[in-house]
Amino acid sequence: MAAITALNPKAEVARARAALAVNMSAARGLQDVLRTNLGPKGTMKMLVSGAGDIKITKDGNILLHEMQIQHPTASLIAKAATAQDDITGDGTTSSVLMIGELLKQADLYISEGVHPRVLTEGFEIAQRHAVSVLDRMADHREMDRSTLSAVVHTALQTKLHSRLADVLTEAIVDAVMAVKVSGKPLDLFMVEIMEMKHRSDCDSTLIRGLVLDHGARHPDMKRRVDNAYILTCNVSLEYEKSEVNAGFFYKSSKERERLVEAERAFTTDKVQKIIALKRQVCKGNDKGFVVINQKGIDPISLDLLAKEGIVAIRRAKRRNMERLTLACGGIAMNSVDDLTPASLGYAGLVYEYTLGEEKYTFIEECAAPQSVTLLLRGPNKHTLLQLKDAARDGLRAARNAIEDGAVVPGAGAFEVAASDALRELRNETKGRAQLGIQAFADAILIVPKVLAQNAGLEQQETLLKLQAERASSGRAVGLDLDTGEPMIPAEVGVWDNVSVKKQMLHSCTVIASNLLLVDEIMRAGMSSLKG
Amino acid sequence: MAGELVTLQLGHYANFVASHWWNLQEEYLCNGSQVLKHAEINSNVLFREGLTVHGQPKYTPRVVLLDLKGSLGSLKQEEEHQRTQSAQLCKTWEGPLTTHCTEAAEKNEYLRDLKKHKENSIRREVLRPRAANDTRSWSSMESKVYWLEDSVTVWSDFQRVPLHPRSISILKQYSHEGESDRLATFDLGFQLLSHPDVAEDFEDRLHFFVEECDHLQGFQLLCDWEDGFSGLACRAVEILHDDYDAKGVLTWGLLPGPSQTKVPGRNFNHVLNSALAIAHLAESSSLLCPLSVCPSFKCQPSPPLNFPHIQYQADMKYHSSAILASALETSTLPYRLHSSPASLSQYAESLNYCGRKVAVTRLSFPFSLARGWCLPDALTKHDPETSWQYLCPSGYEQNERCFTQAVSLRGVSAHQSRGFVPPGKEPMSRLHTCESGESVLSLYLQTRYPNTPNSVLLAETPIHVKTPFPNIFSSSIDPNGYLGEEKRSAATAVRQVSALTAVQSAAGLHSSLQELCAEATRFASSMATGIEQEDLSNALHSLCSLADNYKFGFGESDLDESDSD
Repeated sequence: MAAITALNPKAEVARARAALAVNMSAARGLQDVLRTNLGPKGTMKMLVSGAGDIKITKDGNILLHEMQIQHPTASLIAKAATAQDDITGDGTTSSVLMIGELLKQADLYISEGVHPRVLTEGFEIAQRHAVSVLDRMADHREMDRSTLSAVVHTALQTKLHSRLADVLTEAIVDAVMAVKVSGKPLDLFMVEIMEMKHRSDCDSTLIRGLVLDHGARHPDMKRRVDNAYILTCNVSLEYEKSEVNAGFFYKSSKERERLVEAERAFTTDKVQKIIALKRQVCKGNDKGFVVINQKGIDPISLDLLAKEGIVAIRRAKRRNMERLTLACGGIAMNSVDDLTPASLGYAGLVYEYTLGEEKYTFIEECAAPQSVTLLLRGPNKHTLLQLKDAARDGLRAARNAIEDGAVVPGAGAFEVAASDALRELRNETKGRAQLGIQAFADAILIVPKVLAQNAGLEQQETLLKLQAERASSGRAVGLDLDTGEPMIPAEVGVWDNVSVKKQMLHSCTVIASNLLLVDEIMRAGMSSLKG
Repeated sequence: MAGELVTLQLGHYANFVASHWWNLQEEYLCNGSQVLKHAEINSNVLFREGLTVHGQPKYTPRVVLLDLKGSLGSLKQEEEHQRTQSAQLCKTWEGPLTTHCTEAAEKNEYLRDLKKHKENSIRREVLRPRAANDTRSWSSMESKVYWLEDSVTVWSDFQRVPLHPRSISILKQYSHEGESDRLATFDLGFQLLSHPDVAEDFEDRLHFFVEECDHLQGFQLLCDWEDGFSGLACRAVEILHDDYDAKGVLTWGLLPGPSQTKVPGRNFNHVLNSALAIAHLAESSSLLCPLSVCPSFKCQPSPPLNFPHIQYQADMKYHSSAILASALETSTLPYRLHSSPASLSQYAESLNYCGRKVAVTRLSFPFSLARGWCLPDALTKHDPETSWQYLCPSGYEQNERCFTQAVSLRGVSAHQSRGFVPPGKEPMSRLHTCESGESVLSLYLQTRYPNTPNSVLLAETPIHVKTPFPNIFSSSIDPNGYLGEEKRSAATAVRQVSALTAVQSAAGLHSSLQELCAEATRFASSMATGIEQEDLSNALHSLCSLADNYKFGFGESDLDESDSD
């Protein structure tokens, strides 16, 4: 009897095989939920909440977040898998499948009396070997446009239909190329993702500039400005009551009015300085002038600016301030005292678009934008969300490729090759570790197997074809999901991220080993272990 | 000219309280579509006018609320859309599609009636735009008495005021129910809102409401203190400071009543979370008001507050939050009237002298007023000991003293507010000789709290406690909120009541904050909180120095204590 029962008679304890069974059922359960997601032939899932809200996704990471997981082990696996997504942006579904499969293969040996520790030792060796196989297979190359397109398209076609994936791939690669500065790590922060509930999903585009989801707040301000100077600033143009409770300090109402006026004049002064700059730069030409302010602008100030033909946008988001100067040039001003024409940015076209009660301001035709906006369009909220998730995954895939400096053949090619290599390793290895390596070699095949299954193919038959082709050609052989025949991913342009695969191998091995080594689960809470 | 306010609701209990609060204000909006111009209370301070999908004007509160997944019940996050085939819903995928439906959440009787009424009125508008007798179903619904105690499990079960779709934000990372994935500690909450994706979404929602404000006054923040929302609130205030500095932030920290689980009292996590929250929020907010019907910060269970004329179950969130909401609805009046003398930051400044950022709220609800009484009559009979309850611990057993206070009384009409002295007769008290309601109340307070600066506000508008406000009034209150001679029958509900609140910078906070600090220190050494030990001790240290701000005189109260010992 476990010691805990002496302290808490209600505590529940599951030991050895029972403990393993608890963990196993959780892992298998999660695997069953996610297995239909994998690959471009996977099943899209529409989730309808109790209140009727709709969520459409095929992304394992999103699904795990949406589900209310009660089982502690399942929750642990889900956490590990979603951490994978946080780090690399992809590979959640494969991680869950792999953990489940490792446990399943291990269970076969454990039921025959092998100690879990023996297996985890083998896992460890196998994982190291698989990583070295991965490194050997990785294709180191210059990340040019076509390679990036291939990587992003591979990631997106598992989430969107091919026409849409094409549209989005184009936009994402353009975005990445625009913000990429050679010699510096890629900053995805410089790509803003903006959603617009409007038209259809295939109208999503890249805007070489910025889109703000708010507009000018004055009826007389122009809706469209060509050849505009852009002043980005962080200056309050609001009349603010002074900090001290001024009520005590004035003797008469006249004096109070004077004080209010003086305070008002302080704000007006700042507005006048902006107007003076506008007059200076726009004198004798037909250029426009747009003020984008991080702080507020009150109606009186707006009125003054509007009379001068200046378009003013207030309360720009903090994160957009840096993007603005990168897109349009110029310097963000923190005070109006040292305004010079040199601090101004430039945009060829600034226009406003109204959609119901939402306004959008497009700042386009910038000279050399180092910050761009992915404008996603869709008829409804859940489509937009799905596009946004896909766009993020696509961007992450591009960044991973650039950071790795290499890509690895997809469509199950790596898994088949790794499994092959591990079986060779097993033959060379002496002693008990063989078992773990064998289990790992079998488990890693889950990816091509499920890919085949989701495409409606016969799992074993397809796998045998792949292995035969691999053995005869010695090249990286992947699965063509349309025909069910082997193909060479490198020729078709199906490329995966090296870092995603590496991360997956690491985390799956660690989690699976930890779960295997659990030999006692106790629970001193209120509800039951069963379920 | 009163500026706009944006309200933040962080946490499930905060949403309970706020739901009640918005419902109480629904009366000022005419059928949810128009603001009454003649009203005393300026609804534009808290509500915004927007457009529906069909281009009609619609008033919704200017609010961003956060809750965890699984907490919405039957409330839809998105606007209603036409029922379409699932194939049409998903145009982004040409492969197979499966649908997974959660069992539809059932709407309770009240929500069903409300929905039916709304559909009827839309249909009627379409058929006969100028129909005169379209109030029938409404009034029948108004007079119906609902008992929702059993059917309310989440706050949306009684949310009557519609919310803007941008308002509702559900955090997927943690779940509302169940044992795993709980947002249990301060640190988890703080980390969660520090995550770039979560923070970005929060900032965007906030931005939507802030950007359209011409004269933003500041922010009201309602947050839970027991769970991880305490940390989340601290991070939220940091974000407010980064983006909108110089704007006032008024924070209410909410502690639910005794829990319904078997474990009585609060556990060490709750204590630590509230201690950390007070330490951080007192620094960054303009004013911080703890609110609870359970007057204790500590682990030991304490008996809930008693209000004469109210029978409620303190362990039921639906009940206790209703009482807190009426306190909010009354105490926030100073910056919400058309004739408001002060903005939110000025209101806060009048109460937070010398770093005394924490204030307690006292509530007398319903304020006892019999038909035919005038305000002086009521005040002479008013017994603060039993009916003017502290909605948070403030060491009231020792002293009632406070440094400053803001008192609001509502539901007393102009002709009731001053005493009438028949010529030739002696006035019943000095209160009866005062010229106006304000001076009556000021005089009363000066007598009770000599040498304490008071600010006084009287409003005629009563609190409209229509359904879905719970029927918690004892039968001695008549439908108009007066102390009745006869018992009110169970079939009639109370429609409106008056209330008296005081927000006090109370001297008693010294001992209660010190107690909290001591209690938290006891647990802090033994618990893994996920917080750096140094940060933790810094927080506890600032809590202690905060407590010291509430000493009267120069160590004078210490002397008193040692004398009595």
